[in-house]
Amino acid sequence: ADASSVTIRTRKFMTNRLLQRKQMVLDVIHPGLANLSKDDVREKIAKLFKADKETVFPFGFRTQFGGGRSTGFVLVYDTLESAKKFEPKFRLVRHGIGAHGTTSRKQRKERKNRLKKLRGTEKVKGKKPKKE
Amino acid sequence: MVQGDMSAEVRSKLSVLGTQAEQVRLLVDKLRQRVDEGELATGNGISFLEVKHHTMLSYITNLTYLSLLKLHGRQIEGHEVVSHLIEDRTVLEKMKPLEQRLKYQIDKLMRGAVISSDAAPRPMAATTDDPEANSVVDDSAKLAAAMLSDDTLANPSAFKPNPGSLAADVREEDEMAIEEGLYRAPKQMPVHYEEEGNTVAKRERAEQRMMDRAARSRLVRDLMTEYDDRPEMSSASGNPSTVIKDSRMERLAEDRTRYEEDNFTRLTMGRKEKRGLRTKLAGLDDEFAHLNDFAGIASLQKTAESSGSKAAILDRLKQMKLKDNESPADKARRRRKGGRDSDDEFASSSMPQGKKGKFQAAKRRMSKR
Repeated sequence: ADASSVTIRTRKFMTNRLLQRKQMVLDVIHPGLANLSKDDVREKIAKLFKADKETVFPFGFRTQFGGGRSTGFVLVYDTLESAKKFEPKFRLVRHGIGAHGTTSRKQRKERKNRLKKLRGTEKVKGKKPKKE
Repeated sequence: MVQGDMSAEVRSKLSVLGTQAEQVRLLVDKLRQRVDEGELATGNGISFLEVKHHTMLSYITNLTYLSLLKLHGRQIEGHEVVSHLIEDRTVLEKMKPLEQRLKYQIDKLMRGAVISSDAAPRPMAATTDDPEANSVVDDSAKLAAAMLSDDTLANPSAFKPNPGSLAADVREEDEMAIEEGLYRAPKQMPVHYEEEGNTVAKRERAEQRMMDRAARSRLVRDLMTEYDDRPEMSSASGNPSTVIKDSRMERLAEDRTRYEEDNFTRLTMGRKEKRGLRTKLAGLDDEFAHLNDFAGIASLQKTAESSGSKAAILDRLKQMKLKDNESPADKARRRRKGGRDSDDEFASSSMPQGKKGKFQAAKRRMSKR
């Protein structure tokens, strides 16, 4: 529950110009309540840093033993374009921005094993049928 | 000789040169006399050196002729003396590297010649005799002694190949056995078995680990609480659980969180670690758990042997416990200081004590005989 009794504290704040983002460690103190969801964290951080909700990427939240306090990491990008460029695909998919791969894992592995039997351009062009 | 206008200095120098040349001529005449009489044998020398001497002589002769021509004011250009000089010079230059290569041989022959020259009235030709053959009290013997007493590093011709060492070491019994036809196994003296470096290190590490585990065992901790002066810590719940403040675990956890926050990642915990954590958190130990945990006794005995008194043992165990609880700064300081507790794997007290022990004594007796 996102009641007002939740406190957010940022630690180890750093502006990473190379990756066009701000990164920090986040401490969420929520006594008596369950852990904050990532969406709620995004809203709070967007309000705090006056940034777009879409450019905030939280991850790695772990609740302390006994409850009441959880720690995680947050990245706030300057623009959505830089986010799309630098963030790993799975985090973009989490937010619905990136597209998930269509091929299933099983299919990919089978294809790889089939290609292991071929050599050179056959891997690209496919195997030529043997002429009688 | 053209006198002309020469200063007094040049004249005096020339007169000195003249007298010295006179002396050299006398010496050379004497030497030539001796050679003619057959006292000095010049037949079996090193031909290389002969060639060198002859070329040098012709070079010098041609040089003097050239200087004579110059003094008389004659033309030198195109004179055959020049070509002779060039020829001799090239020969000498080509001989220099060869001489370098023959240096060792020449030195050896020189030494042999010097020693054997005064052993007999008729000096022998330079042969590759054993330089340590004769010792005669004489001038040349003194010179020879000086040459021999050179440092072997400075005098590389002291090293001689020893073909005798190529022969196989066949002892008497083996020779007899081979002759008789019946094979008898050779009786060999037992030699101390040196463990390979890797296994030694592994063994040392395993022993160290045993010692550490012993220091943390129930038995040792009870001993320490019994003899320690500090007030005893007990848990708030009253349950005399064994682990109240395990600073080692705390330190590990702290290290992990620090790494995670610095690198913006989350570390995964393996299956074994999770299991260990679960058992630790359960904390179902009571007073009677682990009473039969005697793993520490063997290592305690070894420590007792090496250090002696009970106080020493307790001190050592306390040190080990402190080692567990120390911060990274203390650890770095201890490592830098060195000494016994500086994490040296081989500074364990369980090494074999010098020449004690039955086997070592037996070995000493055999070597004495």
